[in-house]
Parts: sequence; structure tokens; C-alpha cells
Amino acid sequence: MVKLVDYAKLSALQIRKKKMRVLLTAFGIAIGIAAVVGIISFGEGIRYQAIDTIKQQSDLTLIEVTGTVQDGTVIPITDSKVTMIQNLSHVEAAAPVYQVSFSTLQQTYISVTGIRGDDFSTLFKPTYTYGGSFTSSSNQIILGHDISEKVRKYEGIRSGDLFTVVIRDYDQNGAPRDRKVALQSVGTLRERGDDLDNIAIMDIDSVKTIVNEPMSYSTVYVRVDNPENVFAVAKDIQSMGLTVNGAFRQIESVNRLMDIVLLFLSIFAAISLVVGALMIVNTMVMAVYERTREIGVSMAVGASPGDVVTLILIECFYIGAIGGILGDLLGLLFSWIINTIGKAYLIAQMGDLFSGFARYDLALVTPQILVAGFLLAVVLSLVSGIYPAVKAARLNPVEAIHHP
Amino acid sequence: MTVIIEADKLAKTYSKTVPALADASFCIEKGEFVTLIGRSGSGKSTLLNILGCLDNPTSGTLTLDGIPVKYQDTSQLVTLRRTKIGFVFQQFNLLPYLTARENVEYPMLFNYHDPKTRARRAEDLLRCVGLYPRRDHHPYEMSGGEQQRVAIARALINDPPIIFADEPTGNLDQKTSEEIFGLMRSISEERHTTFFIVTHERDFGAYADRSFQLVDGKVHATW
Repeated sequence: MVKLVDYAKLSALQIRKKKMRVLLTAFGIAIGIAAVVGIISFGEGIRYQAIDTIKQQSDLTLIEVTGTVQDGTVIPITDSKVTMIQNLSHVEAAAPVYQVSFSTLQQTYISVTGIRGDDFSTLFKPTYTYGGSFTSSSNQIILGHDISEKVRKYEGIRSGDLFTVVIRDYDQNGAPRDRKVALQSVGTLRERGDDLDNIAIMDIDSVKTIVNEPMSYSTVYVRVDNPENVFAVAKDIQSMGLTVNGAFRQIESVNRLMDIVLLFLSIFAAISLVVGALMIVNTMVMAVYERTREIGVSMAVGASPGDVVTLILIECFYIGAIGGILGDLLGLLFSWIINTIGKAYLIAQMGDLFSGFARYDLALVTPQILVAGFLLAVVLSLVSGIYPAVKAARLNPVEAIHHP
Repeated sequence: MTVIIEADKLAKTYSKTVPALADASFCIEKGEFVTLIGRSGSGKSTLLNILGCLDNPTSGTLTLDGIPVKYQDTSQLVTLRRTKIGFVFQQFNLLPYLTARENVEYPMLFNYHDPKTRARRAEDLLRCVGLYPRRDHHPYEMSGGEQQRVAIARALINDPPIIFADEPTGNLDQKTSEEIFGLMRSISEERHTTFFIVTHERDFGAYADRSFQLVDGKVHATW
């Protein structure tokens, strides 16, 4: 360790001797780093914006769990699986539901979800434009906003009305037998902008009684305590062999898309890094050549080839560190320009349509990006230093000492 | 007396016809002050480089302080250079960006001594060569003779039993050359260090216990 500190001091002296050359070389790598930092920050900004929009527009903490079809067989949702889901950490509530379809006398199909009343209110926090929730084991039904409009328009069924639905059974010979059941509309939901607008909700036991044949749960609705935990919970449920869906899927797609976009953009930015790395190789090969005699003398007085490699690589580390810091600073400058001038220009060009951008930074520089940029510069410099360092270590001391 | 350098039929050929060094065999004892005299091109430097483990012979064996030198074993050569050998060059070869004290300390850097020990030893040696007051000066602020004194101190820093000097006074005037030879002689007596000095000036043979002559790659002991 003491040895390394000594070497660091010695290399620092070498660096100080040729400030201008080191600075120019470091700038070469810095421009590449700045390009990468700028582009990734820009991409992260777009990603953040897209995800934030999804978060605002959808119910992120709600997960829909369905059975999976595997090799042609259905893996159903059983009661024990529901219990397992309910016992997962970060799960606030999990409610199994039946999904069936009833037809009215005039052949309007109504999708009906059977769920326990208290589950319905904790999971979906419904608000009503008319009436309220159903009582358990009753023929009471709540209509979503759109479906309630539909039946009012086409069938004249108003909120609070008693109406008839037809349930079709099949007898032993396969002939259809229709049954008529009277349902009472007790509540109408306020418009929500999600799937609930198009369905009707009833008590789970009532649905089972009305259908009157063995069924398995179609879906389990899961409420997660916090948006941050959604992915973990979804993963846990997936490992039970079930399928998960929900708004978080959109975030996954955005992430996947942005990962690919950023990867490609970074590859282009990385080309400038290659140029920077070649500059370091060049600078260090020159430095080794100029110092041939000094390296020969060092070997004569006891430096091993490894010592020579270490000394040269420490110099490269310095160049990389300087380049990394400069690159991060330039990258911050890039992002600042995108966020001030770029954003103003974009809003001016796109008009009111994009005024939503005003709230966001177009480029989002995170500490991780800066740290990664710095490390990238250092690693690249060290890699660039390998060739000159090995070249130096392989010098013949006798020839090196007599080098002019 | 113990033998410190034992050369047995050391030979080096660069091209097949002209041997740079032919069958050099001799023994040098601990504390001896030896000069090797020869015209330029006579193979003096070749012999010195082989003895100093910087170059390998085409044939023959060398034993330094009882250790047979394995020229293919890089790490052994490094260890020998660190512990057994000190070098003094014609061009002084001090590092220009280091002070006199730092230059003297330099070989110890590769031997992992703590900074305090290094500084103390370097200052002692600078005192010994009479340059303690100039310890913080850089080589460009010193005369050739002063630079060579610093180089001698540097060669002594790891306390090696053998010092090899390649034309140490080749770049110095007569008076300074005599001073440098006198200094090396007194160090040799004081510290019991073996000196092996290559020179083309016969006169300095007078300082030596023994003087070799190298003519056309062949070693002749003069007395």
C-alpha cells in the first residue's frame, strides 16, 4: 500500500511535467464521456416523463392475476393460491372474483364480476352517481358508468330498476334451457376511465348461486401497498405459475423500449470514446518513448517489469480521472443546455400540445450516470494504457540506458 | 576473504564471427576495488552489463555473493539488482524532476521501505558524499561532479555489496574525476563495498587494488 502511494506520487510528478499534453488527452476522453452522459440523461428524462405519465393516468398498484395455460392445460386459481397471494408481503388486499356474462331480454350482454362487497370497496374505492353497494347474497347489482348508459338507452333500464336477465343452461342432450333471473340495480358508478366502466358488479356468492354450476376463479385482484413494490409482488405471483397484468406492464414496456433506444444511442456516443482511448494510447506510447532512458535506469536500480507497468498505468489512471471529471462537467453542461434552450425551443415549436413538458426536465442527470461516466473514463484509460505499459516493461535495460 | 564475483568463461557473441567477449574468467573478493581498462569497443560495457545482470551471456556462468545467476529468471535478476548491485553511469542518469534526496531514495521505492527510513538513509548518504546541504536541489542546479556524487549515493542506498560503474568520470574534467575516484575508493574502504569500475583512462588504475585489461574481448589481469 505504501508502495502504491509512492508510485502515485511519482506518477503525479510525471503528469505535472506535461500538463498541457495531459489536459488535451483528457479532453479527448472527456468529450466522449460528455456525449454518453448527455445522451443517457436525455433518455432517462424521457423515460421518467413517460413513466410519470403512466403513474398519473393509471392505477399502478392494482395487479390482475389470472390462471396460466401451460402446454395446453389450464393452471387454475385455487383457494390455496389466493391465500398464498394474500400472505405475500406488501399485499394490502387480494380478492378472487368470478367473471360471467348475462344477457338481457333484448340480447344485450352484460359482463358481470362477482366479488365480496368489502373487497370491492377496499380494492377499487368506488364512488357512485346513484345509490351504493350491494348487500351480500342478494340479487342486487352495481352497473359501471358505460354499461348503465347502454342499458338505459337500448332497454330503458334505469338506475334502481328491477330487470330480468337470461341464463342459458344446457341439458343432458346438449339442448339449451334458458332461465330467467330478476336483478335489481342498486348503484351506478361514477365514470372511472378503466375497465370498471364496462362491467357490472355483484356479490360473489350471488353469482355462484345464479350460475349454479362448479366454477373456478377467473381473476384475483391484488392491491399493493406502494408503487415501488409492484414489480416485486408481481414477480412473486408469477413464480406461483400465474399470469399477472396491470398498468405496471406499461412501465415494463417503456423501460424495455428505452433500454434498447439508450443502448443504440450509447453505441454511437461510444465511438467518440474509442477515439479518446486511441489518443491515450498515442500519448502514452510517446511518453514511454521519451522516457526510455529513465525506464532503463529504473530497471537497473531495481524496478521490476511489474513496477514499470504499475507506474505507467497510474499515469493512465490520472488521465482517465481528469477526463472523467471533465466529461461529467461537460455532460452536466450538455443537459443544462437541453433543459433550458432545448426545452424552450421545443415548447415554442410544438405549441400548447407540449406544454406538459414544462413541468419536466428533458434531460435527467442522476448521480449514477455521473459515477458511471467517471468509471468508464478510468477503465477506458487503464485499458488504453496496457499496450504502452507492456511495451515499457519489455524494454531491454541495456539499450534503454543508452537511448539518446 | 570471500569471493563476491565469480565469472567462469563468460562469453558474448553478437554476430557469429566477432566475439564481443570471449571466455572471461576471474574472481573478485569482497571489498576489492577493481578497474577494467580497455579502449572503446573492446567489450568493457558488455562485460559490465553481464556482471550487472542487465544483459545475458551467450555462454558461461556467473556467481554473485554466492548466488548462481539464472539469466532467464527475470524475478531473480530483479532481486539481485535490488539487493546485491548498485549502478553508477557515465551520464549520471538522475531523474530530472526529483531532488537530490529523492534521487538517492529512488531505488528504495521498489524495495518498499517506509518513507522515514528512506529519507534518513538518503540524508546519511548525501552527508557521506558531501552534498547534504544541497539535498533539495534538482540535478539541473548541480555540476557534473555533484550529480555523479548523488548518483554514487543512489547506488549505495540499498547497501549492496557490489557497485558497478560504467565510465563514471567519462563526462568529467581531470580534477573532478580524481575527486570522484577518491570518493569511491574511500567509500570502498569504509563500507567494505566491492567496486568494479570500467574506464578507458589507464591513470585511474593507480586507485585500484587490481586492474583488468580487455583487449579484443579477452581479459588480462595486469597485476
